Amino acid sequence: MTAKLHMQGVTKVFPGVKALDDVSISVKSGEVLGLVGVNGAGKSTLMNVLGGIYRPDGGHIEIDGRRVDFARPIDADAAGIAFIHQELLYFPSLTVAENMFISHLPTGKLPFSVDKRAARARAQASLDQLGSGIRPTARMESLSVGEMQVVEIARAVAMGADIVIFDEPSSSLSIKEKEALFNIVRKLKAEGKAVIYISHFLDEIQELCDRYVVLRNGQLVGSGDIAEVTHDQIVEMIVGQVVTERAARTRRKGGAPMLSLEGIRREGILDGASLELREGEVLGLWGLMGSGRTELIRSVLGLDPMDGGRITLAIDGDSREVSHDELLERTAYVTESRRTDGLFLDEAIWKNISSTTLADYARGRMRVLDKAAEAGTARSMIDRLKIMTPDHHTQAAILSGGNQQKVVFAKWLNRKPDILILDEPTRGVDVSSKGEIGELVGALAEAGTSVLLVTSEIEEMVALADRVLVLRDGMIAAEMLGEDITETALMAAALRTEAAHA
Amino acid sequence: MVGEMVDTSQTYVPRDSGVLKLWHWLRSHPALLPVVLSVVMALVFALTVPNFADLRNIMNIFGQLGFLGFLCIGMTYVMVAGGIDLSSYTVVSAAAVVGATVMVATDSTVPGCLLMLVIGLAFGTINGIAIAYLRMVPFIVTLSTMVLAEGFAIWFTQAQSVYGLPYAFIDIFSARILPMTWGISARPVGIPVAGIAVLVAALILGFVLSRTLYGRRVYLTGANEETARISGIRVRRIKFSTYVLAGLMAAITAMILTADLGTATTAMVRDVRLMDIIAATVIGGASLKGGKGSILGSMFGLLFLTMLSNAFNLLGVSPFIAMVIKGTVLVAVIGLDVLRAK
Ligand SMILES: Nc1ncnc2c1ncn2[C@@H]1O[C@H](COP(=O)(O)OP(=O)(O)OP(=O)(O)O)[C@@H](O)[C@H]1O
Ligand SMILES: [Mg+2]
Repeated sequence: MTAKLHMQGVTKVFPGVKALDDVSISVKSGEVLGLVGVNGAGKSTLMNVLGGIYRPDGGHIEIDGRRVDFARPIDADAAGIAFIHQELLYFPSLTVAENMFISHLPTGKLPFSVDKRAARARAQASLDQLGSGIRPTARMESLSVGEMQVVEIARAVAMGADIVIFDEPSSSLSIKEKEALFNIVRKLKAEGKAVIYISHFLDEIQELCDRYVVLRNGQLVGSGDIAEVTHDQIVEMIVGQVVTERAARTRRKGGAPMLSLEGIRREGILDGASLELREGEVLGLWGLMGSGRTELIRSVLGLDPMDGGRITLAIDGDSREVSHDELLERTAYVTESRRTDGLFLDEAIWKNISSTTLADYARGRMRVLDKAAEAGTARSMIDRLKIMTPDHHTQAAILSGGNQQKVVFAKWLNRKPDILILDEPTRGVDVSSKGEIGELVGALAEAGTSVLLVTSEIEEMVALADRVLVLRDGMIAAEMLGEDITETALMAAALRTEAAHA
Repeated sequence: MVGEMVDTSQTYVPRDSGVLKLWHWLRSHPALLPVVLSVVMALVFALTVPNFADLRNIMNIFGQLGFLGFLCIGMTYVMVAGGIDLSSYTVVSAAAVVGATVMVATDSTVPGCLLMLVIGLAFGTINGIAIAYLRMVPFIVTLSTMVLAEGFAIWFTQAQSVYGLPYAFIDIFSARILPMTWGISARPVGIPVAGIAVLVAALILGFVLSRTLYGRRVYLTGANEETARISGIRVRRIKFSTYVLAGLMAAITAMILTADLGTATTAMVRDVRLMDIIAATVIGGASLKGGKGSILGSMFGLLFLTMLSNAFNLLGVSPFIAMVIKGTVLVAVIGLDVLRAK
């Protein structure tokens, strides 16, 4: 059988970067191809070429053995390619059905009219086909990230796509949503679609994919059958060197109380959550999406309303009640969504990095900024965190997802904070950088920083947290210490909460 | 099969750093467009429009920059921080009529000028509080204060013009210095103080916006308010300050215009001029989404529009045709802005 899709010798050059260098891949119908590689390896770019978003500078695409040329995304659409993007694109105030058919609304009897009933029925049919319970009339903004993704996939199904691309689909999903996603991918495969699946989670790749392709620095450095390689071999190909086992670590005890929250309440979300964060510890906050983890942080920092509760902070050894602004000033906060509130997307990397410590660069009575010093800091951060970019003047928006996340980290490291709050700190970050960020967090805690960690990744919680609090229904429901922090225990705690909600 | 190891570690060194540098430079200097536009336009008009390059006319244009220049500076700060101020041109009238009335009554300059400053700052403060602290929408708030200021001015003067201003006041603000002769001008022509004032203000406030700590905070607030806030920038304070600055600029405009016209009226700046202010700022690189723009750009944007009006005037083109052409230019520039953002 010939390949459904073949990309031959694709090359793509951006100013200062050769994002793809003579890459060839093929996928057969009924096959799932795993696409892996470090941040900035070129995975999204390769798929953007396939999706008609970028024109390649070299090479071509064949579908069913025939050469095709996509000038615009619509051309790729028409050729049966559906692209589930890394960052979902949608119209929040429209309904699910309207979002699904935004470019192909069934027309009604009158000219320019829209047959809403037909749109709803077709939406319902493809959602059913995926075994999803989402209503076509629901507003997009009322859905969780996982549900929105299902809508995108349903859209692909409804369009009759037979090549489906997933770009890091699982990075913002809860455990249950991930299971649902995997089932959908298996279903697509069984229906004979050709699927390309990008992920930094190698266990997902091993579970779902038939074959794999590894990209590094825009080049294809390995490919083959999943069954014939081990986890460690893939990691080696991805990072380009032999990986060493990390030594087992001991859990830190933590010192004097740094921050204590008492009875934090917020209408309908938080119901008297209390916790104490100590000096030099990594405190994990565990719970399913929607349990109030992010809301707790935002309320306490004054970014969302808070209806009650006390915030006490140790300042120079003295504990006293503080305002939201005082806390915000002493806190570094790596937010959950880098694009909305982590980065200045249109600005250069160096301006992003210095943004948290601007006053340190102000000189003289006019408070003139020392741009050379800002650039110097940016360059050293780029080296330290191995941010892949042509230079520090590059706009944050054009970095790959994982490298954007590193820029967010860089801007906070620059501040040397007392309190570091991490909300999904490694979302979209590759295996090797994940390890580096983990080490960095550990080193900061060793040096006395108090770290509050929110993550949906179970391995990350086990690897980093010294103590874990389980958040359920806006309250702290349980605490786990030392050896009790295991994957099984965390899984049980999460499933208990999910079950309670079902 | 395990893929062979390839050493690709060098791929990310900029391959063609000359091109890259030019690219970054163009991206970070959006003021280039209005500068080039103005220079080209000046050359074309100088060659084709009679009397355009005459010294008297050049000084006229320079002086006219003083009328809208301050308002453009204020608008630039507000727009860079992500807002908009529709009220500034009626605030000019409100400040002017009250200040002028007091000047006429007391026959002295200082109290009236102080009052103009107070009124300008008061409107700026109202806008700032409503938008920055009460989180109301800039467009709606400043539309309301625009109407409020106009209504106030009409009520205060009973729609009459205020005459009889002290000569000292008129002499200071509408003065021309360093008379010189050049070309066909028979009588010597002086440099208008209003033009010099706006030039000095633009240099200082341009420096503040582009080089200082405060200026960067204004840009970052406009670029992404949420990110700025979490990064420790007091975004409310920053936004508030830009509206107060815009109010101050309106007050200074009130002084210059009152002196130039020799009278204060309720419609000192006609409403079509609001469009000029916004157009100049947008041509200068500002975006309605915030985070972009510069004083240099706005000033050249204003120069461009002023030269356009002036040339049409000299050619005897109907002012309405001129409006149509200006509107077209504005749409073209905004279109270019959209393309540039891609
Ligand atoms: N529009 C663009 N302009 C310039 N450079 C770009 C553009 N898009 C991507 N790049 C660069 O191309 C390289 C590959 O990026 P790409 O997004 O394909 O990486 P990726 O493998 O998807 O990484 P991640 O795992 O972090 O999502 C990066 O160095 C990135 O900065
Ligand atoms: Mg990517």
